[in-house]
Amino acid sequence: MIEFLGNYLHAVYVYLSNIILNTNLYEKIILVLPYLLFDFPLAAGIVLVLSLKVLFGLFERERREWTPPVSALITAYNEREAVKNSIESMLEQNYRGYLQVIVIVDGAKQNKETYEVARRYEGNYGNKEVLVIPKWERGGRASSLNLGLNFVKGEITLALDGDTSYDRDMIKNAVSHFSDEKLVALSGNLRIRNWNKTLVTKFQAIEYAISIYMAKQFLDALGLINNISGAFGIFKTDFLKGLGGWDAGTAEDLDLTLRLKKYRSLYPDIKLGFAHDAIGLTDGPETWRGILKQRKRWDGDLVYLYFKKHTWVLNPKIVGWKEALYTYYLVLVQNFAVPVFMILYYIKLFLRFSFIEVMAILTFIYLIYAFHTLFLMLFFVIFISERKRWDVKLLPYTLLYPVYGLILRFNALYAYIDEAFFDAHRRSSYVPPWVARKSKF
Amino acid sequence: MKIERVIIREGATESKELLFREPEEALAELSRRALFDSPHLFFIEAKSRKFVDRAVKVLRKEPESSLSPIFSNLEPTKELLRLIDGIEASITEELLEKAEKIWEVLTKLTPNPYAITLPENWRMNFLRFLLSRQIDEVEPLLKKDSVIGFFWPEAAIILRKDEAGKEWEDLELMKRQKIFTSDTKNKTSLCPFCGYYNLILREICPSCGSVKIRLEEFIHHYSCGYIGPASEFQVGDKLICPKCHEELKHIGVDYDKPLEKFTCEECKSIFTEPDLSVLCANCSKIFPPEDIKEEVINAYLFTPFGKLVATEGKFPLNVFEELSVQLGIIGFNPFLYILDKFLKLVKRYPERRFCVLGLKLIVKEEAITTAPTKVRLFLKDLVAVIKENVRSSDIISSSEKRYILILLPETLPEGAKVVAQRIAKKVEELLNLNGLTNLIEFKESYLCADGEGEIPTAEEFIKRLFEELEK
Repeated sequence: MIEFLGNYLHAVYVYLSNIILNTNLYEKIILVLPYLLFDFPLAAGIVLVLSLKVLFGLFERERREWTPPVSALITAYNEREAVKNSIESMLEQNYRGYLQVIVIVDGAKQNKETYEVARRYEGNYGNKEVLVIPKWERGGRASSLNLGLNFVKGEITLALDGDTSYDRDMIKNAVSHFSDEKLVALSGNLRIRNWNKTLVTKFQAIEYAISIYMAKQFLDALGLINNISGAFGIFKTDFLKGLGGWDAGTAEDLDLTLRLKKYRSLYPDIKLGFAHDAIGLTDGPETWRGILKQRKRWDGDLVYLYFKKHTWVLNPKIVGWKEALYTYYLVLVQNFAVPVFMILYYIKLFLRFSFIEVMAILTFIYLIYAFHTLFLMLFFVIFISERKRWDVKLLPYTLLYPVYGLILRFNALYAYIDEAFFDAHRRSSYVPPWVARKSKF
Repeated sequence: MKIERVIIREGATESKELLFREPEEALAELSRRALFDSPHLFFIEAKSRKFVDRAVKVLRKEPESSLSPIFSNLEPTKELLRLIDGIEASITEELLEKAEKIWEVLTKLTPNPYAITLPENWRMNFLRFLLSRQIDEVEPLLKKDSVIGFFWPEAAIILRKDEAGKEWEDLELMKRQKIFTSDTKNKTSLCPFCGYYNLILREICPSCGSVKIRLEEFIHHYSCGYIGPASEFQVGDKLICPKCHEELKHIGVDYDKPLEKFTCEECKSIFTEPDLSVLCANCSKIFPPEDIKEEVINAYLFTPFGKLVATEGKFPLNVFEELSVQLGIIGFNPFLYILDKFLKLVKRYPERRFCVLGLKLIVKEEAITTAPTKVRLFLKDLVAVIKENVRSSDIISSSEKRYILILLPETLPEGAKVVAQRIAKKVEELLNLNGLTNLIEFKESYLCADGEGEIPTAEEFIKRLFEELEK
């Protein structure tokens, strides 16, 4: 074994030296083409835009000091004691305006414990009021949010999750973004609360830091926010009610975002944004099994929504060329084409080179991705993070992160196939089967 | 039956014959003409409810007219409804019949009822009012400006109480005399000192008694372990740890709130549970909640015996009740409370000496049945003797329906001895004079506190005095 490892490392060293010293630029580019095509441009954009934002205040949204009445819809299912984290974090908000916290317990008959925990908090707390609504029959998250929407008194409505808790200044920061009349919805900034639990949660913490904390700021700067997070959406209430709330079915968050975009074809001036300083902490799955199951649902939902329910998103006549190009690149290329391209690329490598040569090439590519992640995380820790003490501890794990990324990409491919050919969303446990079966798409 | 019609008309230009502008004028004229004993009725012709209310109160309060039939053209306020005999636009045949019926009952009652005191006279009027109107139950009503939070309107007015709620003592007395039975309707909480219900419950600091306390959450900062009141962390709208200066952003992640504590702004002490204290809005005294007097509020049901008392015009003799009313004594529990304070005072300041004089009075059953008038007269004289010998600062109470207790502040044993001997001598003379020596047992004794040695509790002190009286 040791002899094999020694031979392997030696061979990798020889071939890597050969790649670096004896190949021309064209050959080098070909080797790292997937990286250059798909990952480098986004990372470069992120670093460039955020550097300008941090150093020169460019792309910074003007803030508004106001305290409109705010309603927070917290949907709970079987969180049990954990739902108190979410409610208590609302009661701890340093927001000076009126805050209405509406906790909707889906299937309160079966989830009695969750309902009882939530009920302990019902009442008035100065400028804050907690209302607990038991939805006795389970109907899925969209139905819970729609039910809660009937009770909303606030000018701004937050759609939150019962297993997510929020920083004390979340609402104060979130409402300050609504300086622009045209801004109708914001995505909150989610981070991983249990980042220190397992290797999988550490990877998720890195992933959220890069793809939410930084990437969404970049997209916000370009006016291309692609999703209002389900666990953390911030809306102007009138606008939300005008849309008729959320549609039944899975991935109600992305669904609503896409409906908002459609709305934009009628009202081209409306904007979606990202509130990087409105921070929520959520517990990520702690096992590989858990994360693969979660991501299979998320990725499958992309196919369901883009290719089945909202095909118009790909039509530049409806969404405009900027939006369409972005969707082609980020959704079609990043999410669909890359996994396919990668598999074809690896098959090609194995056909052309010997096993040890392929391993050397993969090691080379791996190192590129590892340093790519390390660099982004270093940039994040130094310039962006508000919890530097947490994030600096994640830096060593960035070198292992490409493994996580690769596994998730293959998992995504499986999810696309399952959804495209077998309607996986109808089997989702996220909504009750009787609701999933009756959804129109 | 000829019934004189006395009309009180609001807005009448002048009073003439039996038509009057004000109820007071009517009362004065009827008294002058000696018409109260002959059948008559009052009819109030009012333009406003306020006038009816005032007229009804004035007429029913006056002992001479408190039993007279009263009618009006307007309805009075709800609480006075049972004090009026009928409401009609004018004097109709029906009203006259009603008045006649009332007079029929009144004329059958024994005239000139025997009553020692004016309050007793008013009580008899009240009973006769109930009897003549066939009212069997006197119900309490809520009233915010009543002494005890409730009042019995018929009793309050006919018993001429200057404050609503004070009729309660009379009703309870008549209950003990078996004139009424009771049916519990509600409860009230009263000041142990003045008997008023306006009590303010306050949370106070257990160390200094200040009301300047506030409930404060304690914050536990996970990363440095510091725990302190939330106010120590509050910097603007941020929470900054006073120990490590790190910002606390997220409950459950950066910090938690393990407990809530009260802090006193006066003495700065920190405590989990504040003490409760009660402030009486009437007498301004402060006392612990356990001293609050919980009392039951009853409806009073007129018993057959009570109706007999009303018919015969003679109250049953109840020695200690008579003494209570005439001497104006305080309850035994407040007496013990005050005695306890005196004992504490004498412990601290031995020169503040005081004595308690005890009088044992046992009136045999035979005396009440064979010579009630003699006993009444004796009691009246006994009250006079006691009043002559005590000072206004002395505090009188009674216990077990056989002892009269008199606390004599700032009194030496010699002084107490003189008072005891004087009362004993006078009582002996009275008993001999009335021929009651064999029917009434009397003994006096006294006990003084001098602040030396172990100071007993109030209960122990009184027990010793009772033992002396029983020797």
